[in-house]
Amino acid sequence: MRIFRGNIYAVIAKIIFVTVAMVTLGYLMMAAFGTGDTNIAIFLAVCILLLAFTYLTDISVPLKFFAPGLMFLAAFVIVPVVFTLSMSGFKYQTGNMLSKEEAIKTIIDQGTAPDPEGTSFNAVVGYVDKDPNKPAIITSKEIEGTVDPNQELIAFDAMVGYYGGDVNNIAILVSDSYQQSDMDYFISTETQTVPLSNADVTIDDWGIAQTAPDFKVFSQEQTNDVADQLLQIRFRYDEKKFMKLDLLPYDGLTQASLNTLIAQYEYYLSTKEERVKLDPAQVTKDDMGLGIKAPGFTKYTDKQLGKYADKIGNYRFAYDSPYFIRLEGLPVGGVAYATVNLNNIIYDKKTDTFSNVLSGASYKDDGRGNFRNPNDKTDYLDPGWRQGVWFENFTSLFTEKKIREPLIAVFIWTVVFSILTVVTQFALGLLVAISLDKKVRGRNFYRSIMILPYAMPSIMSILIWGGMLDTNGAINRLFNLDISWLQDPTLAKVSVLLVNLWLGFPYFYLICSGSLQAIPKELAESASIDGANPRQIFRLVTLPLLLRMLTPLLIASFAFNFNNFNIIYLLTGGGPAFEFGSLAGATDILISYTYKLAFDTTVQNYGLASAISVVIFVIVASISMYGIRKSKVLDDFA
Amino acid sequence: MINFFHWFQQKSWRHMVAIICCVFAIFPLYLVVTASFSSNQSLQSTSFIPTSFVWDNYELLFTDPKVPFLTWMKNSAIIAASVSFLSVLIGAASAFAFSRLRFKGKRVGLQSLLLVQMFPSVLALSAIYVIMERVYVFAPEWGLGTLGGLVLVYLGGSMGVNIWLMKGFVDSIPLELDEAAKVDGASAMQTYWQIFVPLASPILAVVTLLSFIGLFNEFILARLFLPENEDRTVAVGLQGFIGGQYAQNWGPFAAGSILASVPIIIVFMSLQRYIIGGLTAGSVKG
Repeated sequence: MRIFRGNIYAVIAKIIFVTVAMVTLGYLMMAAFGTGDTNIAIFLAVCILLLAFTYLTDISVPLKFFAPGLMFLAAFVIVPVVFTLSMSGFKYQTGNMLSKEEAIKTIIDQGTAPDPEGTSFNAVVGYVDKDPNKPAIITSKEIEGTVDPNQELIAFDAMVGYYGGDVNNIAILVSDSYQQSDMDYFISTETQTVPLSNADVTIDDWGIAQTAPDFKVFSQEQTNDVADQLLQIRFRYDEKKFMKLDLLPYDGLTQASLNTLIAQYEYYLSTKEERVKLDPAQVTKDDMGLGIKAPGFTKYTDKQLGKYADKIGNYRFAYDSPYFIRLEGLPVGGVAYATVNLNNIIYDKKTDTFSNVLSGASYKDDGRGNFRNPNDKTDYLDPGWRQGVWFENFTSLFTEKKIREPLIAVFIWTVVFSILTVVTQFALGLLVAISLDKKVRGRNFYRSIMILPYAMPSIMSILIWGGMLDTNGAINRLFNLDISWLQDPTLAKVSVLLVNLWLGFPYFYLICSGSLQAIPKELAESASIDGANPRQIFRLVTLPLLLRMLTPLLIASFAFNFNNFNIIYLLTGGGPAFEFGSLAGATDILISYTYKLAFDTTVQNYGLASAISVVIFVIVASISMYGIRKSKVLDDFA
Repeated sequence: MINFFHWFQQKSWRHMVAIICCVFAIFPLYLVVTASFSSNQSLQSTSFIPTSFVWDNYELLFTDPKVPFLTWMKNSAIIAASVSFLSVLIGAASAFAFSRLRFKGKRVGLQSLLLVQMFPSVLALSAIYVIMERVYVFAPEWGLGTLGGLVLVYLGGSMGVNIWLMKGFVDSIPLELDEAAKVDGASAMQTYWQIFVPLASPILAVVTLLSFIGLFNEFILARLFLPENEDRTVAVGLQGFIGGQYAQNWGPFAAGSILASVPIIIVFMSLQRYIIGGLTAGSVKG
C-alpha cells in the first residue's frame, strides 16, 4: 500500500499537516478524558480516526476536501442544532435544568433543616494541617456562666409567690432592708426584674414588703407544690447577677442571696471528619471571647477566603451525628455565622422516593420532572430535572392560551415584517437603480454616498438609529416633534421597517443595477418599435425579467429577515410590550421572542424556545427549498 | 426653453430621486460625525449645524484606562482576520469538491448544508455555551472567555455560508482548465492546489473580506463569550457606552463607531466592483 505519493513537497506538507492536527487533537482528547468530559473526548477520537483514514488511505477523494470543514461544522453547528432539536421534546426550564441524577444530588445537598433548638455559633474559618483544602472552623459557644466564688455575700428578705396572676410564674418580692443596693423593693422572676416604689408596697414592722401590685404570696399548700424546684430557681437581678433562695420559705418569707455569673465559652474545632473540644487554655481569644487561634489551626487570609469561597460555602463541618455545621453566608473578617443542621430529606434509591424525616411527607417522581408529594400537589422538591415530554412543547403552542396568543401576534408580525422589508428594500433599490440607469452626471458620486449604509457595520448603525429615534433623540429635537417612535406599537413597527429600509436598500440598488444591465437592450427596443411606451416596457418586459432573475435573492433576503435578530433586538428589544410585564412585544419577531424566552426572563423556558426554533426552521427551510427548486440552483447535480 | 423642459423630463427626476435617497442615506452618518465632535454626551443636537467642535470623545477612547479601545479594535481585528482566513482556507476545499468532483450524495450534502445553516442559531447558543464551558476546563486557552474559543465557534458557524458562496464562484470558472489538467494526469488534489487555487485567489480574497466584515458585525456570541472588558470586541465594547439604562454616552460611542467603521468602509469602497460581483452570486449581508 502506498500511503504517500506525488510531489515531494506536497508529501512533506501533508505529513506535517496530518501530524500536527492529530497530535493537537490527541492532546486535547487526553485532556478531556482527564477531566471526565467523555463525550468531547469521544468526539475528538472520532475526528482523529477520520483524519487518519482520510489522509493516510485512499478510501475517498472528496472526503480529503471535506474533512476539516466537516469537523468544525459537526462540532459547532450540527451538535448544537441536534441539541436544540432534542431539547424541544423536554420540559426544560428554570427549575428543571439538570439531569435527574444531578437533581437528586442537589436535593440531597440542599435538603437540610436546622436542629430543633436552632443552635448557632460564631465560627472562625480556617484550615488544618497547613492545607487550605482542609477547611476547619473554631466554634465559640457561650455556655451558662459559672457562679463567681468571690461574690461578696449580700442577702435580701424575700416573700415567695407568683407574679402577673400566673401561678407558674414564680416570683419573689424582695426587700432590701439593709440598704445594700440602690433598689428598696422589687419583684424578681426568672426573666424579669420589676423595681417598685415605696408607694407600691405595704410593709410590716420590720420594713419587709408584704404585698405589691400583681404579686400574690404563695399559701403554704402552694409552697409545698413547688418546694422541689424552689431552691434551684435563679431569680433575675440584672444582666450578670441573680438570686437564689437560701431556705424554703416559712409563712411566705425567706432569704435570697445574690450571685454573680462569669461568662464562659466552650471551644470546638470542627473539620469534615470530627469535632474536637479544645482546651480553653490553648485557645487565643479576641475581645469578644471568640476563639481565633488554636494549635494546628490556621485562619484563612482574605485572599484565600475569596479563592475557596465556593468550597467553604457548601462545606459540612462535623457536629454530633446526624447533625452537621454549615456556614450561613460568607465569612466577614474571617468570622461567619454558622448553624447546626441535619439532612431531613432522605433519598431511597430502591423506590426512587424522597422522604422528609421531620414532616413525614414522601415525594415521588411525578413523571413531570419533579419529586412531588402525592398528598399535596403543590408540595414538590426543588430543583427538578429535564423530563422528556415528547411533543408537549409543540402542542402547548396551540393549546395554551398564554403561549398561543402572543405567539400568533408575533408570527403574523414576523411574516409582515419580512415581506414588507423585502418589498420596500427592493422597491427603493429598484427606483434608484432605474433613476441612475442612464448616463447621469454625478452617478458615481451618488453611488458612493448610497453605498455607505451598506458598508458601515450594521450593529453601529442600528444602535445609532435607536438613539436618533429616542423620545429625546435627534429626530424629535431637530424637527421639533414629540413623538414616541419606539414606544408606540404602530410607530415602533414603522421605525423598524424604516431603519431596515435604510440598511437594505443600497444592497438592492447594487443588485438591481447589475441585473438591469444584464437584460438585453434588444427586448426594450423591439417593444418600443411595436409601439409600447416606456411605462409599458417596464411593466411588461423589464420587471418580469428582473423578478425572474432576482427571485432567489428575494427569497434569501426574506429568509434572512425572517431571522433578523440584530435589528429587532438592538433597536427596540422587541418592545413595546403587549401589556405591562408581558414578554413579547409589538415588534418582536419569532427569533427575538425565542431569545427572550430562553435567556431574557426569570423563568427561562428552553424547551418551549427550542420548540419555537424548530417551527421557525421548518417555515424558513420550506420557503427556501421552494425558492431553490424554482430557481433550479441545484439542478446541475440531479 | 423646449430643451430645458426636455432635460427636466429626461434627467431631472433622476437627480431628485438620487438626492433624496442620498440625504436619507447620509443623514444618520452626518449625525454621528457631529456627535463625535460634540461636547454634549447625547444624540440630541437641536440644530443641523454643529455648535461645538472638540476632540474630547476621541481623546477619551485613547486615554481612559476603562476604555481599552485599541485593545477592542485589536481583538476584533485578530478574531475577524483569523476566522475569515481560516474559514476560506478550509471552506474553499469543500466548495471545490462540491463544484467539481463527482460523488454519491453530493446533492444531499449540499442541501443539508443549506438546511443546517437555516436553523435559527440563537437557541444553539446555549449548547455552544455549555460545550465551550467544558472545553475551558480541560483546555483553558480554547474555552469560554477566550479569543481562541470564539474563533473556533465562528469557524464552525461561517463554514456553511462560505462554502455556498465560494461554490458559486467556483462554478463560474471554466471547466476546460481542470479537464485539461485531468488529461495531463493530475489528481484531484493537484488540480485543486495547482490550477484552482491560483485561479480563484482574487475571488477567495473577496470572500475573505466579506466574511471579515460579517464577523466585525457579530454581536450576540461575542457578548456572551467574552465578558471581560479587556477581551471585548469593538462592537460589544462600544455598545457598552449606550447600553446602560441611565447613562448613555453617545459622544465616545460615535467617535468609536467612526474609527471602527472607516477602515471597513474604505476597503469596501475600493473593492466594491468585486464585492458586487460576489453579491449577485448569492450572498446576503449578515
